[in-house]
Amino acid sequence: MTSMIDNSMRLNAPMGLLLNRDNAVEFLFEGQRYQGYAGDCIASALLANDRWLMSRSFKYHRPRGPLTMAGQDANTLVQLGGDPNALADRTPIAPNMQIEGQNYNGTLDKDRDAMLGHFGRFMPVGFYYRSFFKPMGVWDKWEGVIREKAGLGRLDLNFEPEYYDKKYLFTDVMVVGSGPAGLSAALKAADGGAQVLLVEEMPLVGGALAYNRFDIEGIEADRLRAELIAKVEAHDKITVMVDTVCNAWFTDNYLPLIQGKRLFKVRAKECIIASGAYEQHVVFRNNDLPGVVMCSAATRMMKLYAIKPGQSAVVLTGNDDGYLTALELNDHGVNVKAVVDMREGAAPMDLIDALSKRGITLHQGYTVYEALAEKGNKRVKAVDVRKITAKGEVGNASRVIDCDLLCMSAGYMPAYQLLCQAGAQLSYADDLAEFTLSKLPEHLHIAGSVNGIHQLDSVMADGQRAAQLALNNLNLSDELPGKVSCSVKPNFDWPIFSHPKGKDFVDFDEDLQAKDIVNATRLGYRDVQLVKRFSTVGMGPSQGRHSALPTARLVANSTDRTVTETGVTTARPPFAPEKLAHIAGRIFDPYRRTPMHHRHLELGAKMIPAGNWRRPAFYGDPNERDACIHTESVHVRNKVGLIDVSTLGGIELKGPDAAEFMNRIYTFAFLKQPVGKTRYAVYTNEHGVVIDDGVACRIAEDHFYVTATTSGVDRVYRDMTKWNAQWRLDVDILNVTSAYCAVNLAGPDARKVLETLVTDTDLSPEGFPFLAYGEADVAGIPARLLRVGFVGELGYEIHVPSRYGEALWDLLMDAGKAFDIKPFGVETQRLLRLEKGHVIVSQDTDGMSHPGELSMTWAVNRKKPFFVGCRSVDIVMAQPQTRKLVGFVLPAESKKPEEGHLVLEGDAITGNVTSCEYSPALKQIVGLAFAGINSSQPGDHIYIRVDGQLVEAEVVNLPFYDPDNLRQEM
Amino acid sequence: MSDVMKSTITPETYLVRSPLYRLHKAAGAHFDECSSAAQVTSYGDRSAVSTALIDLSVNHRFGVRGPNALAALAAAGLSVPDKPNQCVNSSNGETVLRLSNTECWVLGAMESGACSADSSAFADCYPVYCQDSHACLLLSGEHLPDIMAKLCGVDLSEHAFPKGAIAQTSVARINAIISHLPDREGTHFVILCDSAAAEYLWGCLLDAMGEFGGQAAGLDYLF
Repeated sequence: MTSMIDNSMRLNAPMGLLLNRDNAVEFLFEGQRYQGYAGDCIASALLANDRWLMSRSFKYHRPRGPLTMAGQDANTLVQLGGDPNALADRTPIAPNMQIEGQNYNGTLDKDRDAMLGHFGRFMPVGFYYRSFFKPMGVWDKWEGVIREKAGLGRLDLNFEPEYYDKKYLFTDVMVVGSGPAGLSAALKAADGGAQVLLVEEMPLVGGALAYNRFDIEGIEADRLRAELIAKVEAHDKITVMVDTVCNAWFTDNYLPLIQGKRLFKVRAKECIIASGAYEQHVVFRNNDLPGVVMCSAATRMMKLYAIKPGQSAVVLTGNDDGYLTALELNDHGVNVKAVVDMREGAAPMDLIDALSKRGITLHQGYTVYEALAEKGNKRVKAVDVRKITAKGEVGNASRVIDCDLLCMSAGYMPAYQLLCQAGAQLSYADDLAEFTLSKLPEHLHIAGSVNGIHQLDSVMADGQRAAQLALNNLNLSDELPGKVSCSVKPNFDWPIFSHPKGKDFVDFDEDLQAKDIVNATRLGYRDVQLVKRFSTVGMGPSQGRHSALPTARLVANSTDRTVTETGVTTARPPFAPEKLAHIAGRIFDPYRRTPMHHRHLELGAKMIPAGNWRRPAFYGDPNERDACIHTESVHVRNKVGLIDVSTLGGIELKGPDAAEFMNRIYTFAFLKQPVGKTRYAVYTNEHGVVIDDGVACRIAEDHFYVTATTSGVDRVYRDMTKWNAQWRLDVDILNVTSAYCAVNLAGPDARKVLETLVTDTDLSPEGFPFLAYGEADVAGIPARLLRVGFVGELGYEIHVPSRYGEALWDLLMDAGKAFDIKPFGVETQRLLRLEKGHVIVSQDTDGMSHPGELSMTWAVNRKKPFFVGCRSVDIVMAQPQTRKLVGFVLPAESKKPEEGHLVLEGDAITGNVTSCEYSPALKQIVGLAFAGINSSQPGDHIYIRVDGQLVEAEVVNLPFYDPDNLRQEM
Repeated sequence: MSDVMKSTITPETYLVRSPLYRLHKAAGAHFDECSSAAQVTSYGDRSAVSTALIDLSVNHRFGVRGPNALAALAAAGLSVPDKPNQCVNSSNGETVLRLSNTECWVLGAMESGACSADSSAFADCYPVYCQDSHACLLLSGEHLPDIMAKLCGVDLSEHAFPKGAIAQTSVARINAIISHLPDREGTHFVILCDSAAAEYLWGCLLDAMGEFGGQAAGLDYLF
């Protein structure tokens, strides 16, 4: 490692607004140690050490250095450890930061792939579209090579995720951009009583006031900035966020801001976009050399980072700002060799006099035709200046001026992206040679240079005008906003000077030259959107910030249309590159836990998801699934088991019309359901499809408690409230799923276990028979008892308020010790209910299953006038039935079908397996499947394709186990 | 509070348990009996903590709804807010949350955790089992709007969500009822959420509070 601590290009204070010169920071670039100051970005710290080459271009691997010093281009993309494509002109340095260049073969300084530039003529735009499609298979050979060369930077696939999060913000007025327009808008809005959020992309407030020169003396910007900042800081209604990018505009001023590792989601009642404008480059040969920069980049270097941008400079301009840049350079010791003004006789006399006083040569009506490079194109060393003879044409007389810095300004392009995302119309004003924005949506306003206002006093007035509109919308004022106009024309009409040898770049990101755009139109791509997709112009990291305007001009010129007719490409979010981490950061993924959840974990349960709950599948070694399930099922059949069924939905219906409501919702009859009894409840939707089921308990004449499936309860509850909004029955509907937890105590010894805890209820078969409902005190816990038989054994569902859930589990497990109680899981329950032939809605049903297909007609009361879906049930049941859910058996040694396996009749698919398990109780494989109606009778055979082979199964009567129900009714 | 610090009460002693008691226990919290359950009284010294999250789930609460609900509560001597999404304190320390035109929830007094009645006392109303359906968390101290802005899309800053206001909204993607407690010094948000999701939301809130130095605490943070 070599050390490179120079800082020879530093200017003295007060230059360097961002620097803390008391805090030196060392870092590594390409293995070499450099030193900068806290506040330096990577680019400025390197420039301070006179290092300009920072990156290589995408296609031709040309040396690139800073162009804008504002993160508006891709010329300074660097690799930060595992983080590719960091903008060196925006990323602050940090102690011992390790930085590398990107996109080179060899070293950054000696890139072997730089030779590609010599073969540019063989790689015109779209060459790979047209070159690699024939002969057949040629793409396969080239793909690897091209992919190797394509892409920028390296991803670290072993990265450790970092903490990113999101936060909402709320404000009356959000102002995007803290330049003179934004500051004046923020102050006006806050003075008017609005809460204001002022957002600035850069690390400091002030926008152009922080770096630009607005007057010959060079004092106005600093004075005004200090004055405005003092007012903003003193204002308690203004919140300022710096280093913050507003990355999109969404409907109703929903505005995502990115600051550090946080994505803010702003809800603003009013939004003022004062985003400024992008200075535009001039198109000439070698306009991409390190040392060729925007005028604003040079002033940024000086004012923000105290960098002397060069020893000798030429300024190429199409407006007055170039003159002011020349004065600023001159003030800081740069030998300004010449100002080259593309205009003829347009500059004000005071500016001309100011140059003259400093001995700076002025060439009016001239342009730079070519920049000349040091060896290896690593820095500009001179410029070829020629007289402009016509639009885009120059004379033959050449004047070469030595320089190591060329500053250029062809004009400005409004930072239009957020506004276009909001639907604003972008139009080209031919007289001004610039784009303007109009047709903004309500509550969105525009101010400053993005609005085509460039004179400083007018910019301030425009900010106040926009704020006045916002205040009026907020009903904080009713003053009429004044009109603001601007007489300055900063854009040069045609700053494009194509060179026969090319390398006159329109788009630096993609190495696109003027001829590339023109050739695209000649190949028939007349629409600018097609030109973009064919040439990739504007598709690089800078997203057309500098290429959109010259491209529009070139396409318009080549197709004999106006720029307005040509338009520019669409601006979509995000405005600036954002990390997936910003989108993904701190995603909320809710989960629910039953009160007994931790007991299951302590007992070694294998947990599985059930909607947003987690339930025990079984208890024991996850690798011994089948053995665990079989053991648990045998235990329930022979002794007693306990399962947590708290995830079951619970809905309570109370009121004079509760029975009538139940009768309309479910298929069965409920008007005469006795108090103290349970009844199976099937719910069909309006299409007659079975979508849920449960058990309805009649607690009182006017009080029902009905269960629903874990995944279906929310829908059932929603449907119930929806229906009663129409029916207007006097019933209160309450979702009590979380209010009650429940267990199923099942097995021959279940009664014995429960009797040890319940003393106030007769649990005998006569006192509390099958399908009974009752309320009992379970060792001090108020409980609802349901005698149901889902698993086909003597069983009690015990529902208790959730606060008692864990205690109930503990009491039952403790009381059950004498009877060798064991917990069992959902997978075991599925096996047990399958043996009993019970259907699980959504597992054994699908989106077309009507009660007839499921043999549930016994649960449909056809004597009552109505239930949800009754008409559809009538219609589908009247159709010839084509399939039926049947039970089937296979010998134990047979290949076991899985859920989803197809049932075939010849080549025709007639159904599928919905449930299938080996039954330890029956010593054979049992299952449920949809079968063709002709194969659905007991004794029929169905053919199931299992792993490519047909397995013949026998259709049998259900249930498989205990057909006389003696066990569950004992 | 020193007596409480010496307490050896454990939540498993009681039939009624907070859905969060294991988290408190694992963090070394101290408990005292409250409403026939173990209430967290202390998480240790929190005197320097600017924001605290306190589990009030075992405190009594009940809900009633129906056309007679408001009148019944008023007849029982409870203060009832004039309009939905408002809460008021009653003279005995209970807080009445009016959630709609026909539904109110009553939160027990914070110090005692007790309510003067329960829903069974209001025969003409339909009960709402919020004691069990919802966990009750108290977010107390500074930066509350900033903390909640990381979890919730509703503006809970003082000017938009003053004392006595209620927001029934989504917090960290689950339904929650946020009440800005009236008549108390400082800022206190009661957050009622699905009791089955209490562990989830507890974690989300602590995560959001971390930036501001917020921590879990017991009742001693308040009194």
